[in-house]
Amino acid sequence: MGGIGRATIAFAMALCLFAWPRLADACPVCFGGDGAEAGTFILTTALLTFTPFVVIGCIVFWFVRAVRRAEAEQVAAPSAADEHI
Amino acid sequence: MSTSSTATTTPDRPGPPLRRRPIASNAVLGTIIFIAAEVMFFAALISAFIIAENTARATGGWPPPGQPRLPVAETAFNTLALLASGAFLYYASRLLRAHPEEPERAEIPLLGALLLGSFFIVFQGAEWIGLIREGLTLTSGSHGSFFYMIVGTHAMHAVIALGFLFTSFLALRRGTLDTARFTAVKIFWYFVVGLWPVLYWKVYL
Repeated sequence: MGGIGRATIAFAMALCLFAWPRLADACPVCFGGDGAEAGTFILTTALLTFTPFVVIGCIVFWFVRAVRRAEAEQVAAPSAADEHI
Repeated sequence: MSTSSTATTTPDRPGPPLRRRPIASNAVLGTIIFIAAEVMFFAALISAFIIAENTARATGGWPPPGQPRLPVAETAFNTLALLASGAFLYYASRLLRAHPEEPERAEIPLLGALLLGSFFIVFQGAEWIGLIREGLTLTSGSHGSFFYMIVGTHAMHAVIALGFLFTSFLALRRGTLDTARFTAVKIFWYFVVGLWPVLYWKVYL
């Protein structure tokens, strides 16, 4: 196939499918009805996709802050922050 | 497993090896992990509710015709009671932190948080009785199913958290309140309080 290889064409086709998902029309929830259902579906998908990241992000943020606070306390009063085993 | 920083010995200090004070107690860590799971659980419930609600709106309206309307104004008042309960708990916690030698100062605010939380549950129970009488039941349709599933699950969390709050209050009165355990109870109650406005907004409004 001349200058354009099969891989390039396949890549371009995949790109088109990603750009125009309606071409596939595979899901009656996403593409059925008046469009409001599709919006709802996208909204809830986004909610469930991003919520774990937000939750884990909050925990990591809290953990890092707690470690920094403990380290600051350690510097301020080393004997108070430690305990003998 | 407590979460602690790593250094265990200090070479220039005599005596047994040192262990850093844990960053979070087991109770706090366990509560945080539990709440992370609960957040996902409620996100899933809300997601399902949003899809059902919007699908129904496109066809016959929401709430479905013939189904009783939810008491929006009364529940707004109840929401304020729950938020006030969270504020009272925060105030009690501030007092405990500021005056660790006088923990009895936190008794009244903690009792206020407890009473307002109990009021929320009792008020919600009364609201449910009214709705059941009007015909909104778990099996009356998707509206009733989602309402009792979401609000009921939250109420169950509130009752359990109230139980912990009550035991904390008793421990405070006896002078045996464990700070780490109280922190875990606070986190749990803040979760119950913070989640409710989101549920109220999605389910009632």
